[in-house]
Amino acid sequence: MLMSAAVRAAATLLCLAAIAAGAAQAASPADQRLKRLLERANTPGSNETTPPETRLRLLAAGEAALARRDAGEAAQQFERAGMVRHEADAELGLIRAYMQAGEYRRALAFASHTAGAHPQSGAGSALYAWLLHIGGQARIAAQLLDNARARLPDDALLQATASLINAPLSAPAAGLLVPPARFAPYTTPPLLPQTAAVIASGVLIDSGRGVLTSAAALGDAREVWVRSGLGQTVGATWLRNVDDTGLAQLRLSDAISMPSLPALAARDPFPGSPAFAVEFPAIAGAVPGWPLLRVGFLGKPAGVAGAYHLGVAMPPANRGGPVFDASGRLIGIAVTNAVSGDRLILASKLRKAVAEYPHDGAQLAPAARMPVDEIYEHALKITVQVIVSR
Amino acid sequence: MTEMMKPLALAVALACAGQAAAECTGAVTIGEGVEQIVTLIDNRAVGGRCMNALIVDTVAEGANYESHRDFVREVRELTGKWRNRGLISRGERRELLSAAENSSVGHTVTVRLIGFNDFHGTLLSPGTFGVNLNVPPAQRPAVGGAEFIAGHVDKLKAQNPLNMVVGAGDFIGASPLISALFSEEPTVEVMNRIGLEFNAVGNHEFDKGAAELLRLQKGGCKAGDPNSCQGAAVGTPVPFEGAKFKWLSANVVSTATGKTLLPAYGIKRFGGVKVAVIGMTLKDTPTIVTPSGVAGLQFKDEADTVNALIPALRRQGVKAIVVLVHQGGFQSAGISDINGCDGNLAGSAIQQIVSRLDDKVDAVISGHTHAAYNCKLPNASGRMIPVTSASAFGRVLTALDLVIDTKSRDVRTASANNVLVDRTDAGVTPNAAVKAIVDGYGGLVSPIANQVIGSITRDIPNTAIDNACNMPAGDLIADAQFGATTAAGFGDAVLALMNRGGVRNPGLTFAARVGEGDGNVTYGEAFTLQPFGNSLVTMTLTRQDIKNVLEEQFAGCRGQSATTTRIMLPSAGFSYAWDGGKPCDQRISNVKLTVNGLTSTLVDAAGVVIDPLQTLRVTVNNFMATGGDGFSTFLNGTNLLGGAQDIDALVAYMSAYAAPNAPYDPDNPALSKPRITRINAPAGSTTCPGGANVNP
Repeated sequence: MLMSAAVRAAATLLCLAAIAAGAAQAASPADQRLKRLLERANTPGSNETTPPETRLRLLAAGEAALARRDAGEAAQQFERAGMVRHEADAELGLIRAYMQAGEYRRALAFASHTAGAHPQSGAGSALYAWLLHIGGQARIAAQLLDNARARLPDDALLQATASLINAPLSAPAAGLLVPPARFAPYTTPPLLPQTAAVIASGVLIDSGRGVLTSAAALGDAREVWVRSGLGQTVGATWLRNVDDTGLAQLRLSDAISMPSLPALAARDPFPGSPAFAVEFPAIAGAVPGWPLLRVGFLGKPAGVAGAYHLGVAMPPANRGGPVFDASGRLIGIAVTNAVSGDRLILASKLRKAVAEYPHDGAQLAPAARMPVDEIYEHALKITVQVIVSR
Repeated sequence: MTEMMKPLALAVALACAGQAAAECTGAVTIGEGVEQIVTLIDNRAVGGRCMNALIVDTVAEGANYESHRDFVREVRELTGKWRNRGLISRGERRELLSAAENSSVGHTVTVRLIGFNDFHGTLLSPGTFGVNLNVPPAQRPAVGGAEFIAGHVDKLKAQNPLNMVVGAGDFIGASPLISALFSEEPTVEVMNRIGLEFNAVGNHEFDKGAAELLRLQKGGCKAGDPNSCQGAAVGTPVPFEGAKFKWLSANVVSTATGKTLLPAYGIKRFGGVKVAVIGMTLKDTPTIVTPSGVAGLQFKDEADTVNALIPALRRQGVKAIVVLVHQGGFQSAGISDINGCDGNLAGSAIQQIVSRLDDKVDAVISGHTHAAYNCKLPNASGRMIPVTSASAFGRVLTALDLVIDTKSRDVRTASANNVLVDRTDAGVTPNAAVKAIVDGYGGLVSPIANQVIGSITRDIPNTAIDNACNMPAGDLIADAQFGATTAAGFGDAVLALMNRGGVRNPGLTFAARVGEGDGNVTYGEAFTLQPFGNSLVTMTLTRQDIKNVLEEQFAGCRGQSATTTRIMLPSAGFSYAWDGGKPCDQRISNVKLTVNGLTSTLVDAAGVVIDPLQTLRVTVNNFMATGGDGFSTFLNGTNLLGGAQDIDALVAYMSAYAAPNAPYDPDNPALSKPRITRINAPAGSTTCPGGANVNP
């Protein structure tokens, strides 16, 4: 029998209404779902015109794409979910998709919105605070977190985030690695052994085929891997120690994709100039994460050629991460030793000592200042975790 | 036609005429479409252009007269000139005028509303965005950013000078640090310069409460917030200027007064036509904003509020009415094209509001859901009216064109188009002034600004503390510059000289300014002290040069301005005396320099230079090194070596006074003060000279 669209719609509504009316007697899951749909359709002010099941499917597809490190597809799915309903879950997915793609600034901006627009979502505030914290805005992150915890005192995610921020030698673990507020990139194989640990940071060189890292940290490691801030993990072999720098050069089994570096400084920076040091915390278990940026001012010459006192307050670690100036130019790599403390090995020295160290892109000083979130975005793509198994 | 429109019409006419000049065919026509009048006059070249093109009478030619009378007047003037030049006959002119009078040209005027919503303080680009979800991510252009929003608004305005820029709420709140940290003042300042005129309040406008919203509207600094009123650093007025646009809150009523918190509507006049926009937020705002944000306010039903305002607007002669409402819907699952309307927003809050709107409302610009759509939905009378939304974060703009009958002053037709704020659009010029403001706030948001670089025991003022012109902040800076350039390879300097004009207010203050703790000096304070971004230059000068440059400090001496005296500040270890009662080149004496504990006399008590050709390395900033402040003697310097930025030198110097070290004490005897001594000053003299009088 043919039925007009209007008649068909009316019949459907009647059917739904009948189910709704009888829901108390026949409360099967399907009936309850239909009832919810009917109530939603009849609720004034509802902005949703797509079934919630569709939205959940989109969210699941987004998360699955993200787990495959397909950031573009993940963003697409989360975006579609967001166009069904303006909710924190889809936005949290989008933020992480942006981070997976290395778009820190975009993630940060969107996270600010999620935290502000969904104040009842602890995850939104937690992720925003963590992104601020790793990008050098520690004071503001702490303030934001305090406000969120005052609003949601029992939120476990906020409490875990606060603990993490207050423990500079730790990295996200357990609940902070679970969607929707996973504080880390998804990674590629190989799976690492239980004994693997992050022992230092490193800087990608040679178009992603090599890494410079702390020589002392490698010690007697049996196996070495490096993992980028975007989650790409590859095996590595020790190539050599670099003169008197305290750095070792690694060769990677596969290239890690890295962007061209921001412009290099034409000459070494001066003591007292702003410095932005980036590194991963050293941790057991080798969980993935995003590096942390810390801010300070370069110290005086360290008494040896080509090195300054770092001047950026850092918790104890093996260093190995990149250091940038206020214009976002890579000015060297941080190292440490028990005698002289934290030092910056200047780019001028590294250029002489390492043929693969970037040489081009010279730029005359003084240059315009680069926003700190942009510096972090560059750092995210060239800083790696150095992981060993002993 | 308004004065504003004439250049456009002329430009269009010239452009069209230029294209048609080669071939003027057919008859002269007036108007277009079914109402076009075809005259018996041959379309021919007039001064190299075709008559048809010179008579601006079609939309394509830019015709947008505020009245039919305006159009007829234009034709009368034009044909009068042609007649006077003998280009047309009297009869032809009569026929053209008659056709113009009988045409429908000018019976309507098109007003363009440029709208957007849910900007959320997104002053920087939010990334890429496609016109729909089918556009592959790699092909989506970068969008948004305040300077490009301004550029696109300008482009849409240029297409129709009769325009109004409006918003549908949530322009502030839930925003990035660059706006949020400064209490959203950056967004308001930028919107002022984009040309926003009316903006509905959204729920996020109430995030910080009604009082704060009113401050943003009216201007003034936020009490107790050190990040408020940063205009001096970004090039905007201080105190904060407030919104030049009007926030509208038709359905937000103060329970205390019974009046709306902000105006319910705004009216803009286009010649004889008035267009009103009624602005409001969703009535459910109290359910999604913290209670303190909406305390003392009542939020009324959206449609009821609009319908109740119609009579008042009609009494004011307003027939063209657009609603700006911070409430919206979503397209059904599809490709979500920015100009699509999949599912017609069925069941959504905005659809239900529109379905209850009075027929006198002509269009609705909505928001809240961050969706983009371009719909036509039935109002209470079943008439389909445009209902639009422009995504969020400044990604999309809506151009809503209202064709208004100039006689009835009511809207005949309304149509809308959503356009991407495409940063790759070569036809758009980003607004440099807006970008400068955004860049300025971008610098202020840096975490480096509040980093403590050292500490001090008391205020270090940038003013003279005696009649010899010693200045504590200048001493500090000179010492810092000397410290940065004394080492081998960094300049080998034995002396630094600082120009006092480069030491800015207020010096360094002991009292905490941004919660850094009393006595602590932040990088931001240091930057305020030395904001010019000068770099250091170390050069070789002779002792005679040193004597000369010190003589050059006084008004009228050695080329120094006749009205300005500029006493420099030297680094520790250098000292001299000056006598303002003596003539030029005889004022400086007793110049001494101590290096590594050994003191040398460069100029004796009689003013004689000892061993005048002996050289020494001297550090100044690059401004002085190039003869700035009238110190042309520095141009004699040789073996110049560029160094750190002045602020870097200060930071490095202050690091020796950071905890746990003792703070910098300007009275510490080791700093060798005073470095400048004045002799034979007039009795009772207390003044450091700065003008033509060198001996006050």
